[in-house]
Amino acid sequence: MGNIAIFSGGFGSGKSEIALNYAMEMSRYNSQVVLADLDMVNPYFCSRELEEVLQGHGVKLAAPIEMLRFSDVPQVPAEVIGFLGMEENEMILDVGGDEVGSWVLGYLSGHIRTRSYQMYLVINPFRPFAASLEGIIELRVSLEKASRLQFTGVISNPNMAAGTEVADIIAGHQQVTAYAEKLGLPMKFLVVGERFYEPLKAYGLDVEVKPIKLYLWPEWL
Amino acid sequence: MARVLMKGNEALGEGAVIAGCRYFFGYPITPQSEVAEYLARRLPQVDGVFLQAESEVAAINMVYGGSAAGARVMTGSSGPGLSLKQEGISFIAEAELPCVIANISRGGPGLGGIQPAQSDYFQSCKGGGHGDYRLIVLAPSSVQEMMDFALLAFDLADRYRTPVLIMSEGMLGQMMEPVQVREPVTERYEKPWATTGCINREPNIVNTLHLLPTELEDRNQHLFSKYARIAAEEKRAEMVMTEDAELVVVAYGLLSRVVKKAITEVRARGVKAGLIRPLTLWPFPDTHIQKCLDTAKLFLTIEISMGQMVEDVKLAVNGRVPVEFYGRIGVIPSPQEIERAIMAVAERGGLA
Amino acid sequence: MKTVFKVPQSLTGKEWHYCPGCGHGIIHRLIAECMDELDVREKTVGICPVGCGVLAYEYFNCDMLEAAHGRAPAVGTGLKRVLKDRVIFTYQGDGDLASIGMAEIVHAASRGEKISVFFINNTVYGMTGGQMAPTTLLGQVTTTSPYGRDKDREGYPIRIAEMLAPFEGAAYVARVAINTPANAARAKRAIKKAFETQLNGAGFSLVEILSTCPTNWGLSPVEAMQWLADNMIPYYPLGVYKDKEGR
Repeated sequence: MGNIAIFSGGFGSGKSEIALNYAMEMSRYNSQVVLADLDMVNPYFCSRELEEVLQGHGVKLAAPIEMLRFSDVPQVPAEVIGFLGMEENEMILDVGGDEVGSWVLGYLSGHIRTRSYQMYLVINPFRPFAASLEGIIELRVSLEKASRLQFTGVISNPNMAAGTEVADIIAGHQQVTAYAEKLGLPMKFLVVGERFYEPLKAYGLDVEVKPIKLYLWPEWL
Repeated sequence: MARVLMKGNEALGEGAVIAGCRYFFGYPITPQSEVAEYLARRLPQVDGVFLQAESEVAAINMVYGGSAAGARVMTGSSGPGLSLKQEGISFIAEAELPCVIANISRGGPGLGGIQPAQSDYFQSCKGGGHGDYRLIVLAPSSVQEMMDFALLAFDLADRYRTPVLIMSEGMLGQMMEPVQVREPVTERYEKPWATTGCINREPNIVNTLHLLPTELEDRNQHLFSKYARIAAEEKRAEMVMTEDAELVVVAYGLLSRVVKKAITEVRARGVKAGLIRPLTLWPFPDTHIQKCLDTAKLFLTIEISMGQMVEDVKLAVNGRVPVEFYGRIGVIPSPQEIERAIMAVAERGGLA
Repeated sequence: MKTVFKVPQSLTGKEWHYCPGCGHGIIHRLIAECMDELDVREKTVGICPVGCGVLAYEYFNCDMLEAAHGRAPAVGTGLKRVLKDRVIFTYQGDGDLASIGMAEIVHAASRGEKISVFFINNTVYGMTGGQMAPTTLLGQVTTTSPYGRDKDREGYPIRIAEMLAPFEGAAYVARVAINTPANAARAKRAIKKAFETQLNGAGFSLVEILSTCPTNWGLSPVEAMQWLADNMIPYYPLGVYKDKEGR
């Protein structure tokens, strides 16, 4: 039996990278992992480019057809509905940012609700609209309304992209922890770039820390 | 103020707000729509107006009206939308109305695609619309510069009473980087020419019609003396390792960051290479290029186009040394690819 | 001695460039008288079209802009969004408004932009030399419909007032004419009503004004007035097509 894990959140909160890493991690435990790229909003930094890497890990990618990848025509990959119906699949859904990105979940919610699902609110407190609790509450409400699904946990992803420092992670995670408490949602894990995994051990954070590799960021940046 | 993680398009929008812009008139087009979406949410929070126009043509004419009313106004689009705006831009340039126009560019011609491209250089720098006029054209290369150039653009627009265009690759609009959020601009330019109602003064007229031949020529002379002033004062470029450079690469925008990386590699392989990154595409920093002519034996222009800026580099070099070109369309070449291109040119030129 | 005629304060008093007998001069005066009577000259910004009215900025004694062909409603939108308490009007001909500027006028009306549009319908492109307009009548000969406008070839003339009145954003829409003193007096009342609609913040207002172009029609001014009555009014009926405020 597989689960459905949905990564949702504001624009640029880091959903795609987390979904990718999570899919590859899951492939260690389940031979039928499907990553569905439902990001209709951002054509540049979504997981479609990584088909080959994913195939190497035995992860199946459901993404818009080749011709449409660099078009501005949004497309829900048709096979996603089929995959959702196969209970043995470990489904990972990477959706676009904000309310707009979550409408596709509303469209699929009938298929999702027939199985048990986890929907994670990915928060990077350094994003402009995630800077206040009010903003986060508003985001949660709008995403749940658009997706017609309920959040089951928070993923903390405090980072400044290439400019991240350890102090950013510590301060940002504290902020996300406070958000999670106010939202009444459990903190699932803290995501950090690989290079921060070891240095962070010294801080004894009370949370599962997941190091992730950045696949979607051009190496020259 | 705080350091936040922003997308290029958001930083541009927020930069406009910080600069005191309270009016945005736009039309949806990928990959620019995020600028509009950001401001649709942001401007009402600061008592501003976001208006989705019925067309690109209407949007630029709303800018004409808003600017004539004395406000800091902005519009944004991408290639095909900019083509539609050209009539209005020509009018705005002639009427000397300050405004900021963003081109979050895509690849053309025609509908093209949203892949990375710098193929709107001619359109931006060589007119685009009818008549003799210039725009100040700024080319940011980082998310921070998307914000900073928005501030700079509004300042230049008001200072010279001229439209300013910010040209960014679509990918830069989507990229996220930490941004130092700037302090709000409080300095305001007097605009006694604005059509705000003639209370206790003679009526103001914003007009681009000049039926008398002498008057038309005078207007053009007036505009070009202003453009000469801008050219004298506002040419900007970043110079990287050009002091002793024998091979000078010219590249702008996001692409310049890949080139910078490649230059470092090429230097390690013994080629004296340097980079000139124009920050202003118009006025084109030809003086910066000419400064390099003491050491330069060869110029190489790299663009995500079939070769547009290279013409300005050739004009600046004026035949004194060879100017080569390397271009791609629809992709940002990797540092390795650029390194190979630079090495190939260096070898042909006997510099490696 | 009683003053029986004077130049309204809202006109500069410069000599018209319009042909003798042209309707523009009459309409300019009616608009200016309304501005005087409402005491809005100093808070008014007008927008000229491309067409014979292109030089209207020479005649109206208020802040004026000259817009690109057909774009006046968009320019007016930009102005009004910034200057919410000012009075904004556009002055547009049939080619400007009903042909190249159709998108701008339709959307300004549908958005309910609080501007007043004075639409001068004289059935031809006057400035460019008498070409066919969207409002040229069936059978009417122009330089680009030399065999007379034919429904199968050039299609039907457009009735702008009827078209825009149903828009929710349109608060006041009327069609008037200037062919007789009585009609001109009605036209002035409609123009004033359009300004008042804007001042009350009720929405978009438009007055379509049937006018004459004796030069391009090849008629004397008097004949032209008669031609308007005989040919235009039957196809373009006069009246108030929308009055949201219902006064």
